[in-house]
Amino acid sequence: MMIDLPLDASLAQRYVAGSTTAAETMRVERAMDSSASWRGLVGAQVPAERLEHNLAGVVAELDAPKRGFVERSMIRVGLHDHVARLLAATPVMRRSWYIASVLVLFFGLAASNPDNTNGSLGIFLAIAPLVPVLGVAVAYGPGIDPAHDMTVATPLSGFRLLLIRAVAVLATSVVFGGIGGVLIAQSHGIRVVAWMLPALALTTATLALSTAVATRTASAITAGGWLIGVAVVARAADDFTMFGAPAQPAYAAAALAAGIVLFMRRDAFESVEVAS
Amino acid sequence: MEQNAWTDADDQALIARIARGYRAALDVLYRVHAGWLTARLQRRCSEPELVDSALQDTFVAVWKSAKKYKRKGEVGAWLWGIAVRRLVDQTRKRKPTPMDLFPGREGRTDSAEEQALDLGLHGDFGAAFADLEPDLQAVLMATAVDGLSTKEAGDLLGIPQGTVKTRLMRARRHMREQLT
Amino acid sequence: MNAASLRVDRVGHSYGKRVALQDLSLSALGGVVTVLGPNGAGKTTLLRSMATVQRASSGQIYVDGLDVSVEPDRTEARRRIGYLPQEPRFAPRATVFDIVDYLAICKEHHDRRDRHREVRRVLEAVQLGDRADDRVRALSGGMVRRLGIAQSLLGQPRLLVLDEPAAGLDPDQRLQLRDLLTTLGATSTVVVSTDMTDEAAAISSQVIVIADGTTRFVGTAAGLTRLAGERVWIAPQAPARATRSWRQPDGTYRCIGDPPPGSTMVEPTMEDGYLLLVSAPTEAAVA
Repeated sequence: MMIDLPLDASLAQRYVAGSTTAAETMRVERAMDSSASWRGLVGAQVPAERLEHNLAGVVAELDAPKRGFVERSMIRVGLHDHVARLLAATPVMRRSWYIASVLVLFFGLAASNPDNTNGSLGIFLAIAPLVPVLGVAVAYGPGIDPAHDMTVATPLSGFRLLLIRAVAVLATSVVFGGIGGVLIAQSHGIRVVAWMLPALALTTATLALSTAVATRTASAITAGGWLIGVAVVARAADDFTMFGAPAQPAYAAAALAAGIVLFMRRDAFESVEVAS
Repeated sequence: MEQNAWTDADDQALIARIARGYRAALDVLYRVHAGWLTARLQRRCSEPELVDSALQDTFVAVWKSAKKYKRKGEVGAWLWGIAVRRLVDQTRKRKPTPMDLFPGREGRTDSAEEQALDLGLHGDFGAAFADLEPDLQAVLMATAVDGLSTKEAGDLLGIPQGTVKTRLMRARRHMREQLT
Repeated sequence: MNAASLRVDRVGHSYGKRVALQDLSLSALGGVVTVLGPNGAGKTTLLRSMATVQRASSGQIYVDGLDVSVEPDRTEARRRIGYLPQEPRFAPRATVFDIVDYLAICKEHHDRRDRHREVRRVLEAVQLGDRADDRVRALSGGMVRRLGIAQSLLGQPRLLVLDEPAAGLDPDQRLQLRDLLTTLGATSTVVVSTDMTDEAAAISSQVIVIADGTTRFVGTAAGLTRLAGERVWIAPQAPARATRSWRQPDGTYRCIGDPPPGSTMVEPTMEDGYLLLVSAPTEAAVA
């Protein structure tokens, strides 16, 4: 036979305050299991503020805008939600960078001549490092982010934001470049990844330069300098001297040097100089 | 016999409307149930933030899974099942400090009325339960009362699953001895 | 009272050879500080320096005792500041919600649910709550500015720096802005640059007038008004000698300065005091 527990406000109060004995607790919880009035009595002891606060949280969750595909993928890969949001919200031109990268790689492929696979590999290796350099150009800076003034005034370090975006750009470039490399791998084997260290060197050099000049200018300088260098070396020696085994450590060293310069000058990203 | 102004049938109707996408019904369900759920969760976990997150997660889960509610048992029990599991999820993310479940002094003598009540509510179980050591009470509460698995109970209480099992064995042995 | 203390200590700034600010000092703790001045006076430069967006060429700025020109103080100061630039601009294709959400992340609101709750709170505060899913390009100029105000409110900053928050707002919205600023001024330090002298007079605890990069006045609204005491006249026709005059809708002329013939004296407004100051380049006054 079920005996109903008579409603007892002081017992409910002590239950919510957490000071009831085991027997009392069991009594109250059993009563709540079957009596809406007991549930109401206990519920009334919880501060309204707390209930409103949590309701707002529920509403915030249910009304949250749906995440896009890129953002969901990033979270699935394990990125923190707020970092994924930062990256996904990179203002403006994300799409145009993807398109530009794909075009750049296809240009390389289109230039590939089945009779001269060495030549097409050369073109690919020359162009692939430009992909992250272009990405950096569109990923950061007052020219790119209309809300730059407001972003600068936040505790998020401009340098940290830059690094997050640069890493994202590099990671995506590796994917694009990897795909491109696979498509012309054929007989070239490991050489198709010879663009990666140059890419790293060029990207860090671009970032380091952007502590002194606008990001777009810096990208133009490194991209231009690179292409000229590739052309000169190709004419003087052959297509692969630039990418060969002796050259690779030089790129690694250049990347490290540029990284050090970037780190030492990182304060340049923390404020804005306005030419009024 | 008390008249319940609000019955389980009312809750069932709300769930049906929530399943059809009516946010207003969720609001009502919240206003009816969030209070006691919060209080009950707070009796399982020392950190109010975790309880708040679990409570919010509960109603988000209700919104998303209202269609799957199959009318077995009462809505209150269904809600509690969701809530306590969301609390376990929270404690997996962030371990709370262990708490004393029943800090009230057992020294208080229950009146004859209360003893009769306990007898009616859960037979001799109540007295035997009150007699257990706090550690054993906690695991029995989590598994027998709240319906958690030994793994979930371990996460909630912040102890290894093996410890939950041994304590449970001792608790059950004690209860058997007391009740026979 | 959760207001930040603000101390601007002999701040100067030049863009190349052009001097924008010279030897400017002020301090504030709570309340609304209104910065008045003609275009090009240096108000925006001053506010940008306060908001840590720009580093001043000389002088010091302290927010809650933190020196904004060095780390780690600068980052800590940024945690306490909300800033509205003179021309807020946002990515046109982003939604209102996403813009504020992004800036909330930059302000270290990492927990998604709490952050979204805060985003909706600030949007409600500027009456943009039901516009959360609209894209920026669909907003009017006034709405864009209100969006800028909204993001500045994130995290209930102890120091708010608002550059022309009222520009582009209609009278009703200005009224709501005024209420908002009054409420905020009770618990934070609010620095506002504006041309709404009447409303500024009503809500400000401190008024600063800047012209040509220098301070012309630091004090209360009443003090600024008093500068024009017994120097404001209504004349039936355009005067020759007064410092400043302009035509009223009814055909008479309001003049500030020496009394023109046939004029009658009237009670000054704060705007009169302001005009008196900025149109007399050799005068400086502190009340």
